[in-house]
Amino acid sequence: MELQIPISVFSLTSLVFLLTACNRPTTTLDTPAPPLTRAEVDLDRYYGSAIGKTFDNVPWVAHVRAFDLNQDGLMDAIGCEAKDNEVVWLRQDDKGKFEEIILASEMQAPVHAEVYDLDEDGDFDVLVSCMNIVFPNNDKIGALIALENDGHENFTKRILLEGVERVTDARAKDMDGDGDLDLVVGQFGYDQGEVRWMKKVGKWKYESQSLLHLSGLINVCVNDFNKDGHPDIAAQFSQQWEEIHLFENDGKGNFADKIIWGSTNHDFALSGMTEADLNQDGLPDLVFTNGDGFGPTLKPGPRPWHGIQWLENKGDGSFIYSRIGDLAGAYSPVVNDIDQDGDQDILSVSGFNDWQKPNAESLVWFRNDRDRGFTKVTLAYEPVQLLSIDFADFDGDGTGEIVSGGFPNIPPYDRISRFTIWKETPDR
Amino acid sequence: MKKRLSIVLSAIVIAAALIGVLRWDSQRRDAIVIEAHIPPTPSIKHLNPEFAQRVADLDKRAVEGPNRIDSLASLSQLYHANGYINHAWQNYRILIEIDEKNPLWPHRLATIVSGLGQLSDSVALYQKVMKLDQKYIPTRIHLGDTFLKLNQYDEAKKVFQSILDTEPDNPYALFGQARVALAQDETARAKHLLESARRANGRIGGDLLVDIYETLGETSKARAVLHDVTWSSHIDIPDPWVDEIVSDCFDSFEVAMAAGKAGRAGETAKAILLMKKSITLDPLDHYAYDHLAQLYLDQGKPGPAKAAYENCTKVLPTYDEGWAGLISIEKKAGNHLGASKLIDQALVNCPTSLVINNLKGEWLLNNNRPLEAIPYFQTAIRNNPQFATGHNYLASVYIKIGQNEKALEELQKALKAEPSNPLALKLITIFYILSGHQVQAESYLKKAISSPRISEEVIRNLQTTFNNRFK
Repeated sequence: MELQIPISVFSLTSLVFLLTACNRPTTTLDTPAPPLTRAEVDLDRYYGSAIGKTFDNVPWVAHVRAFDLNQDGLMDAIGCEAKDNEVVWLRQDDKGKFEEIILASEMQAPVHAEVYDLDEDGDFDVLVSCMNIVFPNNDKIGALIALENDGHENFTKRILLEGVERVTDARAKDMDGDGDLDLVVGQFGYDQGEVRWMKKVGKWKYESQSLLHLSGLINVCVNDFNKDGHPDIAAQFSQQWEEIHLFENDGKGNFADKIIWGSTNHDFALSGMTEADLNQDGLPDLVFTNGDGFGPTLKPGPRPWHGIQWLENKGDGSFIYSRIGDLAGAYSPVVNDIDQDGDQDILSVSGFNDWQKPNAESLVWFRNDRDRGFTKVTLAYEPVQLLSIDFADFDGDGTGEIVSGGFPNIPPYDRISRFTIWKETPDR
Repeated sequence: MKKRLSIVLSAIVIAAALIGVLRWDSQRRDAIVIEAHIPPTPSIKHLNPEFAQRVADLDKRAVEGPNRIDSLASLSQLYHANGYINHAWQNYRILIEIDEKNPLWPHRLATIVSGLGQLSDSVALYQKVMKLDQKYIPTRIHLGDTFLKLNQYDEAKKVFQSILDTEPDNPYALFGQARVALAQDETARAKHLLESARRANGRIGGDLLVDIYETLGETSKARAVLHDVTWSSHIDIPDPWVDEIVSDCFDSFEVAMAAGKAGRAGETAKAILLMKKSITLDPLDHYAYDHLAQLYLDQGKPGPAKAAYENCTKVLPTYDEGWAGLISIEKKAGNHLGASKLIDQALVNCPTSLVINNLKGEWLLNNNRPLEAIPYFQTAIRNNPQFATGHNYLASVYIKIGQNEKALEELQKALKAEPSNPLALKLITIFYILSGHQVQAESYLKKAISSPRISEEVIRNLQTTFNNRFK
């Protein structure tokens, strides 16, 4: 039997064969993944020294802010000790030593302090956000307390707000253009929370206006984000919302709320936000962390998606999101020119890393590589369980130092700290 | 005849050859795409050896075959489950290209993308899933949530409504619609939607509903909802296409988190299995034994719970909660002597513990030795000043020995530590009512009424006692 294959079929088959054999398909896949975090380790860049009083009990430093409170030209720091219910002043003397002075006790679990001349009398007062109970609680026990300076660094407590959901952040700014300092207040609560602004109506008198009822508020940032000449409010909400809202101000104290960023991962674990012009284009951006370690199990810990993000301000009330890098348990983003090369870098700490691992980072610098990319530089593995940092020129040498606060809440409580100052090693 | 047969045979041979060529070409194409885009495997340093081996094997098979797609799918899931998000992301992109009819890949990638906040990028992926599988509800819930966070309210509404068209009581869709309504200042509509959501699932919507009730002045309704809220009022929609990846997880903490999520959703049996897996991965995790014991107690099984607590105290004898759990089980079983021995053992290991010192003091108090109890409560307070319980216990000692003023002092200190501690508030209110101090009694009664942690029944009793005394 002789098989006869038609020429046309043979040709077609051969063509298909040849085409497929010779032609390598090229593909362009949609939705590229963010670049992998570039990483280095530089443990010798800074050395840390404990400042403030020694401790026996596990400390709960919820917040630390660098500020020259007595205006003597030497940088000090203000700290919130939430377990001892104290707001303390780490006053630096001319020999570079820090003396810890209690500014106020019985402060209802203070968790955030900012410094302003609230009463416009020429000295600096301290605006303190108080949760009253730091761990989950639905009660309306939050308070906002001003520590009024008499001009000689003696402080008197003034309760500006109480009986509200637990307060986690407050800022002062003239929100309605009448020339005095109003307040913007963030209340974490637990299942309920709120962001409000408080219009100043007299000396130490304010009238509240609620902007949004939503739980889990971590930080508020106030700046003219949409460049219309009026200060707006950015508010970061954690819990199951995982959103950042922008409240655009019409200049008369009327605000329009919109979401400028969000995650659908309800365990994304937002943990802190700051405003700064990261790309130096003249517009205030937002840099934020996700790293809260608490979840549906007893043990707090790191998650794979914890890290640092950047919302690049386009100036019209819209923002472009970029992932900066990974950091397990990330908290307290701080933007500054850390290496003095003219661009803005980011510092962050870890509150909830896997501390059993010897290479779990506690203090990290995201070095700006000027290509919209950042290199993660690990600065320290300990002390562990840091929750708050700030960066300023403490020793007056023109380069900045870091001050950190420790809030250990996972045993064992070894390698822990209270307040630490991190100075550059001399030969750097 | 011969000619016809030869044509038929030729056609069969050609068809078979063509099918073979196309199949071969498809596989060749898959291989090229995989080879071009598969990310390099991560460094195996510090990795679980079994995980590292599986990654190496699957990576090799994904590139070289056989079963490239299946191997790549397994590899993607392995990466995803173990926190290698970038690797999983890249592999899911490849799978979307070469296994284009499978909705699993765009769904998983979409949850990663929108989870990391690249909301706009995730929309097309979710929509692709919906074209491939019109019935999978979690995709739509995530897409609706994504639209909401993009301030695209009309689109969000449409997506949530498409779920409600077939499942009118879906609590997650009702909740999504309520959030859209709130964003558009439609409070009455939001209230109605949230009430419906809560009727369908009591863990959904309570947080927002309380705010609405309070805004509308419906305080008793707000209180009633708050009383139901014990540990965060919200749970996520179960998403089996993503949740199932935990079966490939080698990270004990992530498995424990999955167990916690299952437990919160009321899937206790599943949570127990996962927690056991977590313990297998890290047998020294005392938290996991503690959590496992609690899950057994949720199931009403004190036997295995006791065994888990015993393991917990063996793994970390200084972990006071493990001892406390064990003591609680003995007490509930009526074995007070056993409980007492355990308390003493626990005290040796955890001398500064709040809970253990309180338990020791309580035991002495119950055995009519109040004065001996005092130092234990004082130790608890000294080492844990942020908690009210030590003060409350101390107050009960002082009440027992007739020193009411001292008891009041301790209760006031309890309130300083925890401003709305229910027991302290209740006892102080009663104290002032009984001692005839109307102004103070009224003030504390008001505080008690405003505290969501005090039950309606207690409030009613306090109110009645107050009225009987003063009105």
